[in-house]
Amino acid sequence: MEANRQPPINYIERITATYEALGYDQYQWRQTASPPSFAERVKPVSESKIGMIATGGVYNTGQVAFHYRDDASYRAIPSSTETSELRATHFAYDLTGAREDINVVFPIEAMRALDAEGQIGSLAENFLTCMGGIYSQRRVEEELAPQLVERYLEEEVDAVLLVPV
Amino acid sequence: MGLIAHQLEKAGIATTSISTAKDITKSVRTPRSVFLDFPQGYTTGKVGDQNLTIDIVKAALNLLDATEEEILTTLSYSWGDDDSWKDTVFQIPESGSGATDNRLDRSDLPQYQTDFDLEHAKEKHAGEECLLCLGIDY
Repeated sequence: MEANRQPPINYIERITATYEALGYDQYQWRQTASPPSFAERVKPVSESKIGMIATGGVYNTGQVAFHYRDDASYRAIPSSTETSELRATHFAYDLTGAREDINVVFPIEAMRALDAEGQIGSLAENFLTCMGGIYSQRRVEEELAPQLVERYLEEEVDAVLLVPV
Repeated sequence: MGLIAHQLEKAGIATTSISTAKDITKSVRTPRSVFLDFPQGYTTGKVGDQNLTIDIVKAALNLLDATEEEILTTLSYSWGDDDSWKDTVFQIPESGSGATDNRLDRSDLPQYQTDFDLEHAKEKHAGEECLLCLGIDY
């Protein structure tokens, strides 16, 4: 029997149809018309300080967990944190995998391994986490994103790995 | 994540990302992305497979050195022997109950993974402000 192979899921189409069937208001998907800006790269990854921003609702035990209504805050998680101290909370995705192995939404061990191998120059002192599923684009634009930028400017990070869920 | 990527790049910090939703990433136009055709909740691999996660992360980081042009490249890994997991993702069943919403209720209260985490956080936050929880709006 031939394997059932399918093209990538068209999430925008499927979610729009699902919400419509449920009688919800239409969600305004973000569309960017102009090409993205590019920061000037002066050093290769092997000489750069690399950060990570993940949206999967990851927190460090001892931190206040995220809440489930447009939470636009972030948590700073030291890049040396024991993996066993990390937790995940979210309203919109299946947490089964993340709670079994946080590396599937927050690859902290892979980042440390690549740093130890010398493929990454150095790691940011902190990796930053937040919630995806913030319905107000204005709040992401005016509250969350500027705080993340400020934090990584302070930490003098050269480049960032983004891990959405 | 698009808005965050754009603001970082404008501030001089380069970005690369890993996506499991190709159409959304295309729409928001993050500068550099790898697409991994895995289910939501498994952006960087499979449970317990550290080598796979390292390869995925490496592929994303490589884009930082490889290009200064908008790029969305597809990784060759498959989630399973077939793609039947896609049959039920945000799909309205043809017969029966209609569309369902699997998301959890919205709540303004912190949602801890365990009760221990709640107690631990209370203890840590009893006296002074926690410097690791900046920007919390509670």
